[in-house]
Amino acid sequence: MAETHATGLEQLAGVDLAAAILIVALPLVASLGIFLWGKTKWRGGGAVAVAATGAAIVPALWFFVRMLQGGAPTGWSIEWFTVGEYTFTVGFLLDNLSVWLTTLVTVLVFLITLFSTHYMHEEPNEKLRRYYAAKMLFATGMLGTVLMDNYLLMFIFWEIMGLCSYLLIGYWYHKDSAATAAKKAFLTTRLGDILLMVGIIILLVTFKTLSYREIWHHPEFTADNPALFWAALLIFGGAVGKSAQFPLDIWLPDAMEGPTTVSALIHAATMVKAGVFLVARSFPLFVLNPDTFLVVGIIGGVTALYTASMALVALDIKRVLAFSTLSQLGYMFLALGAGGIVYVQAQNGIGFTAAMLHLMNHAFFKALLFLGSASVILGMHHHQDLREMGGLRHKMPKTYWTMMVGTLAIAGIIPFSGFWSKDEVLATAFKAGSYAGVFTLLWVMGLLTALMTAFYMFRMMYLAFHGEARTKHAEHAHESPGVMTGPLVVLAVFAAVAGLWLVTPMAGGFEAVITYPYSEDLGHPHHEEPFALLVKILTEPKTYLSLGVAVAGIALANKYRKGLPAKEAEEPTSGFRGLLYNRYHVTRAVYEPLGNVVGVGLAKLSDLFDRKAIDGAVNGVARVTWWKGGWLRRWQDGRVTTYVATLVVGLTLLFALMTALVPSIRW
Amino acid sequence: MATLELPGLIPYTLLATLVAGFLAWRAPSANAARRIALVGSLPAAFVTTLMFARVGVTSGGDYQFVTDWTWVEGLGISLSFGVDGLSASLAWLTAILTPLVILYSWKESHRPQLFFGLLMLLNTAVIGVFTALDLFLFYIFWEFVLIPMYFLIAIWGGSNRRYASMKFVVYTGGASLVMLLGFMAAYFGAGLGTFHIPTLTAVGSQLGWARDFGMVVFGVLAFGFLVKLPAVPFHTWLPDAHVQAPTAGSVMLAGVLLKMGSYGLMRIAFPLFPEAAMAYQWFLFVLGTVAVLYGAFLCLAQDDLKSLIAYSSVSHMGMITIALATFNDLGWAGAAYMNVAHGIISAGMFMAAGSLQHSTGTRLISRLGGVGVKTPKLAALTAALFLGSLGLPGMMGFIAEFNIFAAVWEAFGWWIMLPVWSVLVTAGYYLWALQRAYYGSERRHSEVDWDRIHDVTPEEQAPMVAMVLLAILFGVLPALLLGQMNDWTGTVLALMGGN
Repeated sequence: MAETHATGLEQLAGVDLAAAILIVALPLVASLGIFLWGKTKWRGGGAVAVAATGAAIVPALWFFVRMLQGGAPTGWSIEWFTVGEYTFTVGFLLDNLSVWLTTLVTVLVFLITLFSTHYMHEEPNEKLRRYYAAKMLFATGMLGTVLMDNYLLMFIFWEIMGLCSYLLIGYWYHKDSAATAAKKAFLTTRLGDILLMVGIIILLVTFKTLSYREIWHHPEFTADNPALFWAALLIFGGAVGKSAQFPLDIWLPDAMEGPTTVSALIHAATMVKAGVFLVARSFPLFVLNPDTFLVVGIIGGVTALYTASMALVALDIKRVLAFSTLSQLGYMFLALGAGGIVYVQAQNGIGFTAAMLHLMNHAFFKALLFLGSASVILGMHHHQDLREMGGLRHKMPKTYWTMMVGTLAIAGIIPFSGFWSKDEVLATAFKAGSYAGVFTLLWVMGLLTALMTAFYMFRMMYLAFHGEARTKHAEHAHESPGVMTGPLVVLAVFAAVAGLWLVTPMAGGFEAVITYPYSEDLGHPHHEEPFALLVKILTEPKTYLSLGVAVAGIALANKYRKGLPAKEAEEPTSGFRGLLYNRYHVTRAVYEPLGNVVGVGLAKLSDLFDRKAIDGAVNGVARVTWWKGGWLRRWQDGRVTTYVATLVVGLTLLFALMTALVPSIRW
Repeated sequence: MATLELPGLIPYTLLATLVAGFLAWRAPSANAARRIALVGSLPAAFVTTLMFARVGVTSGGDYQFVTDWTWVEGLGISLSFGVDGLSASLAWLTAILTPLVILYSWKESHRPQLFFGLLMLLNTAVIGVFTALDLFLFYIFWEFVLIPMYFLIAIWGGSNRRYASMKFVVYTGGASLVMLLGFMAAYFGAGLGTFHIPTLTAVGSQLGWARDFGMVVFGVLAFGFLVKLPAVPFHTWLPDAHVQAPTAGSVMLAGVLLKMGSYGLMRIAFPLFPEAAMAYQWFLFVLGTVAVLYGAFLCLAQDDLKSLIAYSSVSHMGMITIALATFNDLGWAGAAYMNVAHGIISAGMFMAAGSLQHSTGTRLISRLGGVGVKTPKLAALTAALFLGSLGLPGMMGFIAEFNIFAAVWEAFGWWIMLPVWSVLVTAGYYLWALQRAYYGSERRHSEVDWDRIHDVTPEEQAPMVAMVLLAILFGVLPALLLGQMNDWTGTVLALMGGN
């Protein structure tokens, strides 16, 4: 296999190449090993998983530090297989975007895996083997998705993530709800993946390559080709499925059937971000046809508000967080859409930066919140209904305080991480409004989402931790051990300070590191100095508007300090609250009929047609022939001799016929 | 690389396999029969592996290991054998499936001597089909495939075996008579006085067939092959045959017998009548699209797991029809790849369905539910094979599917949006079946003795594991297989282009 040179990139070689391979290979090898020996020798495989993910941080940091020092992007690729004029390659693209995200992912995978070792300790080894093997394979999938240099390999790792998500949602597969949720997750994301695959195929046939950089530098990579407009939208379709955006958002709340540590890693911190990453990675393609950014922004803004409203009335601690995840992912797409418009109009990459900053911040605070909820659920002896909690603050102080940091971060309170990114997201949306009016509306929706976010998060915190214990589970709740609270504390530190990178001169500030265009050869990245940006944020009136909105949301949640008001204690079935609680009845009104009526209906109809019409005709012909020709009946008796005799006679006749036809025959 | 002559290798290997089958049939005990069959299947497995490897490292565009013996000189009938990038993998698949199937059926107790003897006869005949380079020889092997398959269904089959075996023989036997007519027409029409396939196909595009003659004869040949594939609406013999056949029969039927249909199209019908085939392009695309979608929806409605897998074959073989309609490298390499991918994965799936029957006493999804807790290994293997079949990246089905869909975009543009949805339906029926049969809470049915459910036995497990590993191997390293297929598509498409 010949080494090919990625366009205009410094080649990865030697130790660097080994390090890059290690990042993907460590969890893969761990997964295989755990699969083979996890049941007995490795006692579930938790220790191996922690070791492998911990070790993977080292090569990730190796690249991360070099990136902070201003190192240039590197790449490496080899031929994988060839079909006709198409050559497919395997390779790495290590630019700022992928190095930064790889580091983030390895750290999160490590912390969450470490946390798992206690959270899952009641599970038998043979099940743990399944858990850790899938989790490690998932890590391989996520890291591969981020690091690969072309669409096909990205897609393969992307699908491996989907497989692991399916396996881990269905971890307790003997539960009907888990089995259904796993299937729903796979099928819904698969719908998006089909669109993504078509998008990739369009790129492949147009450019005869799927390497990101070869596509961007291809002479035919211009707005003149209408297929590229559709390719961008189809690729976005894949992102909508993976990141559970409207209207493919239905699977993520159900995915909470998996262990909470799975929800934290896959359905909050990493996999669902892959859609955001995909759009970020494909940004040049969207830039070609800026109208595509409208679609991205609108879907993101709508999802943000639509799903935040569902969290307002949720009664299950994990559901609150799941809806919140959807909503925050919506923010990221809003930022990418608005950021794209702003970039095209004003060559300003801040929206892209805001989306990525929010991706990172959300990864920290949502992993923290999910792990916190896992700690609560374990302390509550596996009860996760907020109505059964109350007063946990005193029983689980570490969990409480760390989760409070996460809550302040997601609510967007200065100086916690979420403030910086959310503020930039909204600022970008507002700015985009001057180029495309719809973004002004989306900006208002974003503000409204911020209000709701602060409200439902504090409602959740108050219901769980404040007031009096409402059940004996809450009375007897206990704090989790250090192996669980340790990762919580680390994540809390990140959730508190990560956003400050935007206004800190570390490596010139976050915008200098992560911006669009993400490599010099696509144009000149423009960015502001961190300190100037800080001044700008603090002197901007709209900053205080979004802060005020967040504070208002917190104030509105005050009534939950003493528990749920009596009229909210039952699961709402009707009225506006019922509408929200049942997720606007979309599943029941749209998806179930689509599956059960259209899907199963077509299946039943096909089956009937096949048996009655097609096979009926076949049997009809057979019956007539049978009845007409009595000799066939003897043939039917199934004895060896009859059949062989028929064949021999047939062949003899054939030879005879040919002898007659061709006079020159010599046997 | 040019053609490699190695007279006798293929025919003598076939003869050895046939003799082993005969010895197994006449063996004094069941134990002797299965041992003879297993050992007797190894030479063919070894030789085809060798051929597969050789074609892989050198050019698969030319025939290798060629035998070219005159048989009936006056008629131009020869004992010609050889393999290239299209057939080496299929012959190899047949020859390695056979020992695995023998292993899987190790405990067969009903007339075991005849059973293993017939499996070896089937092995011989199918390898013969994939290696014969003479139309007449091809036809003889093609017909001989029917005999062991017929008896496997008729003697070891389920309760409705007589109907199913007759339907199989009459339907596909009838179609092969039509195919024979096509052979005769091509033979006399070409007027070269030879049945030699390479000779005929080499000049196929230059023979200047009269347009109507070409259209008719291609249609006749294609009909013969499409019934075997099987294409909608000539597919209803397949689910009946599968449901009634013993596991070993189903495995061979889905694994390699269906590929005789696609192989015939690729080896004979298209190269012989390229212009006529081109004229049928849209017809074939529609035919394939209907099969892909209709077959997938049929799967959703099935209760018997075997019948579900049978209809999934209809759907997947529809992909091959679509792929051939594209007339481009991606599509034809994808079709050749799909042949092997479907062969490996569906063979494994039928083993899984058979094991489910052995483990629980039923294959009806409605009588199962939550058995995965009792049969974790079988559940995992079934899931792995189903995921492979639905085109999960990392397994070989995906490579075939991706190439074919890319080919469809190249040839038909936005029409891709029709067949592509089968991907979703396919995922739907597999995952839904898994969920209802294996996952969820225990749903005890009165017909199923829950306490006697056991997990898969080692001799059944090993062949399934082999199928999964092969599917992953070729999914991760597709070049192992695609290299030779590329050489072949390059050669055949150039031939068909007439230059």
